Amino acid sequence: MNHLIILAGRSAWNRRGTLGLMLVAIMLSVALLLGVERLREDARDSFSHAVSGTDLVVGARSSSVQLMLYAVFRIGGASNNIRWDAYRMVADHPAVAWAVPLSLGDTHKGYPVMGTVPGYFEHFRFGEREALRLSQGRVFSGVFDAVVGSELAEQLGYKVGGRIVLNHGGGDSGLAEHADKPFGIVGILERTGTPVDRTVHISLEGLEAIHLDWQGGAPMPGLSIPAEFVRKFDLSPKEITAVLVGLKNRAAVFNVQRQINQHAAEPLMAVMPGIALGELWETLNTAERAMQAISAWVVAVGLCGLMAVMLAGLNERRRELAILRAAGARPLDVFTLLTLEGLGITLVGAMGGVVLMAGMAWLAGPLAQAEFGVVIRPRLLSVDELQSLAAILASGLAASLVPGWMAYRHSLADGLSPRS
Amino acid sequence: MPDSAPPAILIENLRFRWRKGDAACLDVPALELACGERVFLHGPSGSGKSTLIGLLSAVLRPDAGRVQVLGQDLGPLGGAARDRFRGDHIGLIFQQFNLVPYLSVLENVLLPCRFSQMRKQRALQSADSLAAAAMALLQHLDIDPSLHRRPACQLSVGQQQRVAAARALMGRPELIIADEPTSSLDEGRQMAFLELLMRECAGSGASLLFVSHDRRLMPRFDRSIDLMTVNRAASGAMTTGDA
Repeated sequence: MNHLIILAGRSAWNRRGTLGLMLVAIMLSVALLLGVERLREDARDSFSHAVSGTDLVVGARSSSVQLMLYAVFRIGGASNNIRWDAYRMVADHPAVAWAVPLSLGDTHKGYPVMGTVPGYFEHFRFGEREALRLSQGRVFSGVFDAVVGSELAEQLGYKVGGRIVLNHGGGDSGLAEHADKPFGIVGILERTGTPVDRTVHISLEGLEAIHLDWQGGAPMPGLSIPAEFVRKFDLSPKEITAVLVGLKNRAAVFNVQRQINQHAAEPLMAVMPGIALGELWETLNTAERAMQAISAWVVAVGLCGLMAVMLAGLNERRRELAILRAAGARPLDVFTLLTLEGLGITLVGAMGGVVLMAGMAWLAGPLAQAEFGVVIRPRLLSVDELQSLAAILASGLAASLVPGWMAYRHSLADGLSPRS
Repeated sequence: MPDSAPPAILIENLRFRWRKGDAACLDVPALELACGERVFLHGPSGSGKSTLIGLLSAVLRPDAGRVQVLGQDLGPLGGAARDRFRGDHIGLIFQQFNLVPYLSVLENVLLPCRFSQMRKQRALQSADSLAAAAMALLQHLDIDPSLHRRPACQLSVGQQQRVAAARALMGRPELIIADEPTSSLDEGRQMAFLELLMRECAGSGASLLFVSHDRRLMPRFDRSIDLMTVNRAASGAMTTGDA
């Protein structure tokens, strides 16, 4: 067997041009298959990681998935706002331990701006109930103070003491800037691997202040209120986007949820983050399965290509195989030789695919986090991935049996010298 | 010849045809090669030389009659046993394309020992290692040591044929069958190759069946056989196109 492995390797190396291309095709297809699966897992992990310890998210009535995506992940379109009274109602509920209001809509250079209260930094949890920590500076206290996430600070090179200008709405055009009221960075958060890293946190009062002289999404003509005068106005928030709620006792969650959903003064919705995520996964399930099926199909195409290349090369190898037979190789040896070649290429292709995927994850990881908020964790192969690789190898073996069998047949028919 | 040793080749009433319905290609009532004998088998194209070699090397099966090599009747052997028998006992040299192009000269000579345990053990009886045995053979056949590590495809045709002879002799098989081994060599080299082959066969005690159409080589052999007279199917009319 050993000598056949060596022989198969030497023979394959002799035809390295064609087989090398085939190897690349298999590597790419394996990297795609594993990459799709890994991206899916990482996306799920990132989403599940982004919020923990929050029992309910309260917002205007819409779909629970939309509310979660917008309020927690800062993805998708703005939902309707809810009135400050609604926040008071939730915060004053006897079962509620803490309630943190969030107000979203503005951006800074494409990064989301979120108005909140200092309590956010105290109560918000992510991952395994980890609290937010400042790597520099302090939590905001003044109207024009801002606390920025680690990734944003890193990408834009911000430090404590820097000044930033916010944009109105989601645009990055620079036309609708709150240029007259810049914010000063007072704190930078430690890295969390969640959307927090990309968020500018300011106080709800600050958010009110920059919109004092605005109406309907545009500066009011002829009216400009300088920053130093904003304190003379009522900066208490009128509307917010969502409320994060922690309960004194988790058992009360269904009760509180029902009461909020039935709130008469205003149509509200309370969603449990875990359940909303479950709905999200359900929605994505079909698409994920389609992606898996396509990538599995690509691997199958790769292995069919391998089979085709080996079969096409067989005719040119008849002389080589006849020489081996004259030197004492049995047809079974010839069969084994061809099968080993196909299996070997699949094996090397699969290993190359794993390396390629790891390399791509390493290269594309920062981009995926910046663009989609998905943290790609470098990690060893999981049991599922090993199973996928085993299935690929089994398919490679099956594909190699065909040229192996054909060579066996040729070998029997040709004897010691190929007849054309 | 000692009586105890069975003949290297013994053919009785052999009949063979390529396809049912075809006229017989071989019809050989009797043919014998004694142990250690060196025989020149000649005949024009179409006299059935290659077919006979196929039958003797257990690639083809006779339709009737008996083919016995080294006392072993090849008829009843199954596919795997025939392959094993060939690998263990017969060294083959063809007119050309004898070597695996991507293997080195040395690896080509070692090939039979990879597939046959028997030849591996016999090679080790006369040398410390397989490589040493192969190198000794190559040296006997005038292949310079500087060529041993070269890919076989880089050698000249004459060198390739001598390497092929070394491979056929490796592990001392009892029977060497050479099918037109000198046809691709120029005239001056033919005799030299033949001398080397004869000497090595004598050295290892192998019987030699040398098939050629070139009768000038004939006087060097113990005996010659004209296939046209031995093969009744060919002596009448040339019935097949097989060379």
